Amino acid sequence: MIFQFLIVLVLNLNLAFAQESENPPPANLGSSEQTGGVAESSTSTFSLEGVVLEKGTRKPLADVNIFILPHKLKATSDTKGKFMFDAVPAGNAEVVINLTNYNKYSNNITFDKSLRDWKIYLDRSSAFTFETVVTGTADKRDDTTRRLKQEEFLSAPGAGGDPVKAVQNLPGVSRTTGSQVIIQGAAPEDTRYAANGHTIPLVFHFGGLSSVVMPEAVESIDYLSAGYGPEYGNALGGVINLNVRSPKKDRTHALAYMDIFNMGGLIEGQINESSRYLMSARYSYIGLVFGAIAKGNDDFSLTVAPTFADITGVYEKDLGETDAFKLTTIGSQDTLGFVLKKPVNDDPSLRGEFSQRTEFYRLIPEWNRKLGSSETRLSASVGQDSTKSVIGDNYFKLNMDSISLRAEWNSQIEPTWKTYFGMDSSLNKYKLQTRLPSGFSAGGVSNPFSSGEVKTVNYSDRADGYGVYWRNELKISAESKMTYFPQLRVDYLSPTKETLPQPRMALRYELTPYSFARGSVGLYSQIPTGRQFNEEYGNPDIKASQATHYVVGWDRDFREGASRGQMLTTNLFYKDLRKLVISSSEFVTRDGEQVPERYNNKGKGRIQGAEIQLKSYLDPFSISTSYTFSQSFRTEPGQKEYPSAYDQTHSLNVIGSLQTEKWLYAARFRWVTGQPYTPVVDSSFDSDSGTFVPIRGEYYSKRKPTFTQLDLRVDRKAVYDTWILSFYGELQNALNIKNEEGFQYSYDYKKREKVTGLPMIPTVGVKGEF
Amino acid sequence: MKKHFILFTVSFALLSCNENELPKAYQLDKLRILAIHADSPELADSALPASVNITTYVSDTNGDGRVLQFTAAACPDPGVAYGAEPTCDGNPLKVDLAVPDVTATSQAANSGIFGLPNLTGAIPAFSVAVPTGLLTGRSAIDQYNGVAYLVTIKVRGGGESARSFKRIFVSTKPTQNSNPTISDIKSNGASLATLPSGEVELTSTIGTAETYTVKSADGDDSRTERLYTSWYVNKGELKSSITLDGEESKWT
Repeated sequence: MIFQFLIVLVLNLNLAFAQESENPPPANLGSSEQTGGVAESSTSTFSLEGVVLEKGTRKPLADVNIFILPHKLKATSDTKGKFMFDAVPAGNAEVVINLTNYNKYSNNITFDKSLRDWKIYLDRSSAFTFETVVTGTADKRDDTTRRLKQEEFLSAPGAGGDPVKAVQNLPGVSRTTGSQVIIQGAAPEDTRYAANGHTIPLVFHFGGLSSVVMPEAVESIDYLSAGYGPEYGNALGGVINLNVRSPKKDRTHALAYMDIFNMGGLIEGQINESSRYLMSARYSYIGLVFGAIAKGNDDFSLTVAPTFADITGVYEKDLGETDAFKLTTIGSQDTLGFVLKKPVNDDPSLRGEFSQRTEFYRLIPEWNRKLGSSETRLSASVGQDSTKSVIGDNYFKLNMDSISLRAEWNSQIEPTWKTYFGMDSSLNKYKLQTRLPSGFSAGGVSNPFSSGEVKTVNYSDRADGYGVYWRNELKISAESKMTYFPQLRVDYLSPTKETLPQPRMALRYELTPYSFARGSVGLYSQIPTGRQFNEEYGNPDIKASQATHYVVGWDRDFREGASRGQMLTTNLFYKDLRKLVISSSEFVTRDGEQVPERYNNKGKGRIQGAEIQLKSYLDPFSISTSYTFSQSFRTEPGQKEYPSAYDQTHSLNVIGSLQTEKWLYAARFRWVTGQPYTPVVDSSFDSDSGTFVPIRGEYYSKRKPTFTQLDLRVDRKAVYDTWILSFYGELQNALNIKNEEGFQYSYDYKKREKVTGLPMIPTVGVKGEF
Repeated sequence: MKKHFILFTVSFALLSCNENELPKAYQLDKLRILAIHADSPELADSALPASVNITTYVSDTNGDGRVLQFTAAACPDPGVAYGAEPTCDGNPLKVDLAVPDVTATSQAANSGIFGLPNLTGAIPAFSVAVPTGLLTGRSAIDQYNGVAYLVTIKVRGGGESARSFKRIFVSTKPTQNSNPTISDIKSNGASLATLPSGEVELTSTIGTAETYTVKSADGDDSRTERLYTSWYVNKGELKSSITLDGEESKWT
């Protein structure tokens, strides 16, 4: 079925290009429709009205000079693209338009009375530089914040158009199995994911397939690394925030797309003068692929094909000159189910029925008011999370009601002082029902499921966090080149009953208008996970982990206002990690009784490194080279300092692209030091469960081979007068390198086989939009 | 939310679970400890101190009858379920247990005693004295559910070695756990009297599963045992090395 689909897709591609080439515009691109709009004068001349639009997007073009030759007539379009000629002689004449960033328009037209509603479509010189209309853009407050705009991540090679995967192309960001994001050597769980500033429970479907918001509904994605500002907390590594975009205001737009794994659509438009909407939906049929792989496997029966779906909705309303309201809705669902007739890894607990259903939704209302030099922002996120997993006789059911609140007031107090006061809080009420063994994992090696003590838990509780912050931007004088950013964040965490003040300080020195030096230092904290502070599975006395970040950097824009040239970004970072939560097999006395500790805060760590990124804009080429040197270490009682699981010492990313009028060619080359792993040196047979318990060697004392991958991508746009048809083809792992992702051990851990990553994967997709 | 990722990763990994070249758990092709049997898997706290007889089932099909040396010890469970290494080394309450060397001698077929020619079976039993005080300082819930006394055994022979451990639980529950029973092994529905040839469906006739109660802070949870049969062969292939209740496993 997959191959039939591909054949149909390729046939449609050929047909569309054939249609495009069969109707070439006369004389050098651009086109026009001539259907009327005329007033006859008493002589052989007549007045003529028309409109100039951008081909494909139908965007009105203002201040465009239209010439009619040889009569030397000239008209200029207004803000709505409309123009008028008072006296156009009847007969043949040439219409000429020259506009920067657009192909020259030249067309011979016979002017007569039948000419009505004259529309001229101008073709952009490159189909890939359509302006993204952005309103209400989230501001970028920290120099360490990097932002990818939609046009950057939609065509990023190797990312499949996904914004979160495209973040892996940035310096300091690496990847591990399943597209999890590693920020500067920190664990994936140390990264906080948000949408419009509010935490969301997960950012990927099925842990790495695709992010939970349709990329075309995302305006930009922010990546906040070491030294990030006080607006966020609870993340020792960094923050990744999706900014859901505002609906377009000019007219109704729609798009629909389909690729090998999923399909989706988006529609947006104006409701009235002051309000507009956007709705998007996606559905994945990856289950068909999965089912084809699983077909014929006697030990495995697919009962619920893996599917994911997500919806995004936006409603915006202007409330006068100073106020604006926006309501964003995000919903996501993942489902999967199968029956295992044979235990996995000979673990008797891992057999039988497996099913997984994860869903969440968020309603995010936002209200902004700008009054003079002050701005007030209020937003909330209300939603529910639901996870239900069944693994044989075991189950995990979590239902959570979640409310998060953000409020901020900022004001330019004086020309040299801007201040921000804000609040960032979350209230979570959850109900947990589980029947699971108390699993143990250390050094990246997990004990068998069956070897743990099975616990049944059924209770409800709350986990709230209250945060307030204060940020400042200060200069000694208006002419001063040094800007100071003193900041403070204070969090109260109800599960650990801690009040955590986190002062932060940043500096920026303007060496030249295009060159900045910067530095920052600050305290950060992170709440333990629910499992870690849960009384049955964790340690109710556990505390938040803490870190101090130190960053210095230098930015230089060699283009100095031009469009061609280079941009250089450099960073040195150091993180001191304290009170890290680690697994414990010790027993402690709690309320007069000996109980297993399970977790404690005796872990420590340090992360140090340097990043450099050089971007070269050499129209039509662009090249981005990112190199990160990063060392990440951990220590815990009984172990000497060892590299952490996320120590990827060298990471090189080179991305190149070539843009022509209708084609975009891109390639990404990645070379990353292999991740450390803990060897299993022996095992012991657990006679009670029938499984083998691994005996670990020195933690992370071995290292996998380097990871190397080349991804290729081709985009083609066919721009018609009133719509655009896009095709893309992507070849991930074009060199078909068998990168080692992990091991599969024999039942007694005495032998192992490498588990390699995905082979060369071709994907194709098609999208139509107007 | 990490669990759903693990589940999905497991689901992709398992698709090749029968395609790798790794040795299978049912294959008897090296020195192994197949089981440790305690005649009393659980003791009432009120009955302590008490002795428990330990029978160890060993397989050394390629050992040519070499001498097997055993090292055994017992101690309070250091917390294996919470990640502690299953060993009594370094435990101040460790008790060394004397287990004599074993040399394979001629045996009657199917006697179940370790010896020639099968080199698979039980070695002479030894006893473990379970001391009092194991429940001291533990919560009432833990005392009811049971606290483990660990027995560890290591066997060495000709450069190979194998380790295993067994928990003997001590609890305050009114009825202690007893061992499941297996009364017959059948091949294609008939009692297995001689070793089969060709393809056969193997089943085990097992006793009744016990019901029991597990206490937690949220209340009592009534559970029923799941009885698994582990299968081992030194020749041929088994479809399943572990079967649940009366399930069959195909041997070829």
